[in-house]
Amino acid sequence: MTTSTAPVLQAENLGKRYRNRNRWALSDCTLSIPAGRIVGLVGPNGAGKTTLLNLAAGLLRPDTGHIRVLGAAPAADAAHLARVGYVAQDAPLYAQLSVADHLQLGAHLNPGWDAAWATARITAAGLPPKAKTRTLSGGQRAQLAVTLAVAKRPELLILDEPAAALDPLARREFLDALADAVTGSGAGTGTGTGVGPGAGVGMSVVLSSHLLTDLERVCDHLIILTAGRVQANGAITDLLAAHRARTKPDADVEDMVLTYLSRGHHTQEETR
Amino acid sequence: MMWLAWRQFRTAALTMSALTLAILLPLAATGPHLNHLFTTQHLNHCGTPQTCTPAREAFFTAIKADTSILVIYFTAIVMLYLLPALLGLFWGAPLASRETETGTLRLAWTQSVTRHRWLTVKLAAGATAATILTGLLSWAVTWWSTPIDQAAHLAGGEQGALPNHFNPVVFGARGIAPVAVAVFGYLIGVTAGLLLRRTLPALAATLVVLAAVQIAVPVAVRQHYAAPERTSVPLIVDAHHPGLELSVDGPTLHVQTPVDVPGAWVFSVHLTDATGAPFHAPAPQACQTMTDDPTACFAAINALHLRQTADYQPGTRFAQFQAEETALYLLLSLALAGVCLRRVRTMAPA
Repeated sequence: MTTSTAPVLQAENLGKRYRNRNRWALSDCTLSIPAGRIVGLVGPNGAGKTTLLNLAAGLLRPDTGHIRVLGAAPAADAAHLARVGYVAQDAPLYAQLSVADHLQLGAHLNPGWDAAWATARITAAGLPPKAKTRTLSGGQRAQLAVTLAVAKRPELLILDEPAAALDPLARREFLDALADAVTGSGAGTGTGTGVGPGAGVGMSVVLSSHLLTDLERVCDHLIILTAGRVQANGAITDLLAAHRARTKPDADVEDMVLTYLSRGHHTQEETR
Repeated sequence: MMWLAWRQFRTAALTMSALTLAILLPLAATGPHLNHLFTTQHLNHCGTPQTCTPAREAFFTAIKADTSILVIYFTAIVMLYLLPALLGLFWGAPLASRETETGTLRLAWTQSVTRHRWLTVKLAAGATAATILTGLLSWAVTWWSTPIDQAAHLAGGEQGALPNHFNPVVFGARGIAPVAVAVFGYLIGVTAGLLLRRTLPALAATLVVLAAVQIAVPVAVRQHYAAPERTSVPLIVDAHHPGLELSVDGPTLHVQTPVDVPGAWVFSVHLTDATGAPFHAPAPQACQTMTDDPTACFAAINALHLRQTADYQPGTRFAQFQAEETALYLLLSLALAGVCLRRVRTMAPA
């Protein structure tokens, strides 16, 4: 792990078109994400958030432009895969396998696997190790999926709508647990397993959601995406200060994001 | 990766192993009895055709009287044709298509294992298991059928007997060839799953392609593994000739009797005149008005001195043909593995 300030993700004129829909899911996207941040990717449904994250995880290949993650092409090789943790939308898990099986899977498939941390976190989250994952609730599934992604000790953690399936209360608990996992103040320390200050120290996080309150809770950096284009990209404090200067001094993050989203909506209307 | 491959595969592997075991047990139970029948007819040291042919007839009469032997004989053949299809359908086709549908490919492909390695391990594991399973079954079936195949190999024709092991259908259920077909079936399934990405279409495509190949190979490909031998025998028809086919369609005469080349695969028989040229002349008058007594027609046909020219692959080539068929299916399997590895590089996982 390096402490350099090189961006964790760099996209240049990135575009992806789905053949069967004949529509650009993402077009001409140029952005840079600095290291060491917890980045929220906001935008309405269909804005291209999942496409951008899938491109970053190497699950999709761009039709135009370039993307580099941690200085290399996404999913370049096994060593690079080990440096990126990914939780796909709907937190896919093997329905026939148990919680413990999934931890085994993580241990066998990831050289940097932190078994002690993973076990501690599963215990803290109250996940029954022997339960098949098809019997778990949405919240439990999300917890397990995030545990798998974090316990491989990635430098960059990508989460696509990790809380989408959860009700408001479960979402709040989940995001707090996530913040703990990432900043290291949670499960890792309370169990006395000696795994140190959490798995996530030095980890950069990119997290997408269409719910602003989710992001305000955990993020320090925002990227606003509408209709496949980046509307804003910066530290929340900077974006908010600029927005307040333009509008009213007591504007909050929600005002700001809604302004950006409606602006994106208008430009989209104009280009039609 | 080995751990995940085995963990996901073990239920399917155990189910298929149980199915194979279910057919191995009756083979083991009846094999000695079959051997006993063979030796009591002195078929193992009958020597000349004069002693062998009656012994062979007696042996097959005894076999055909025992329904359980016949049921096992045909079930074993069916199983060896079914196994590649089952491996393609239950191991191969769901491998990528099911995981695309459930979305778990996005989990598998974001672990610290490249897609290339993910597929290579799964292909190797499936192909190895298919080899072991089919190898075991084919070895047992070949062992069990040895008395029948040896008897069928002797002179005496197919009438009242079972076909020899060079017969197009039996050939695919003996020796090493079924192993290569099973590996091929598995790879057809994996390829279909990767290309179509949906389980049901992948299953359908696997069945159609595998069936087409398994029909095309014995019908149109296998006979070309080596230049055929040709033999010409006089056509003599009489009322007692077993297997005689005779029909008159307008002026055209169709007549054929089985050409017995012991142990060989006779794959085409043509009617020629005495000089060896194809016979096209109209049917004799005596045959055009067929009566209850065909003696006059038979005499008229015999007076034409017709011959039958048979193209065949001699029985001594059986092992060579097994090796060539195995090589053919293994080459096709390698080509499919190449298609799979190319496909997985660019495939979207959901």
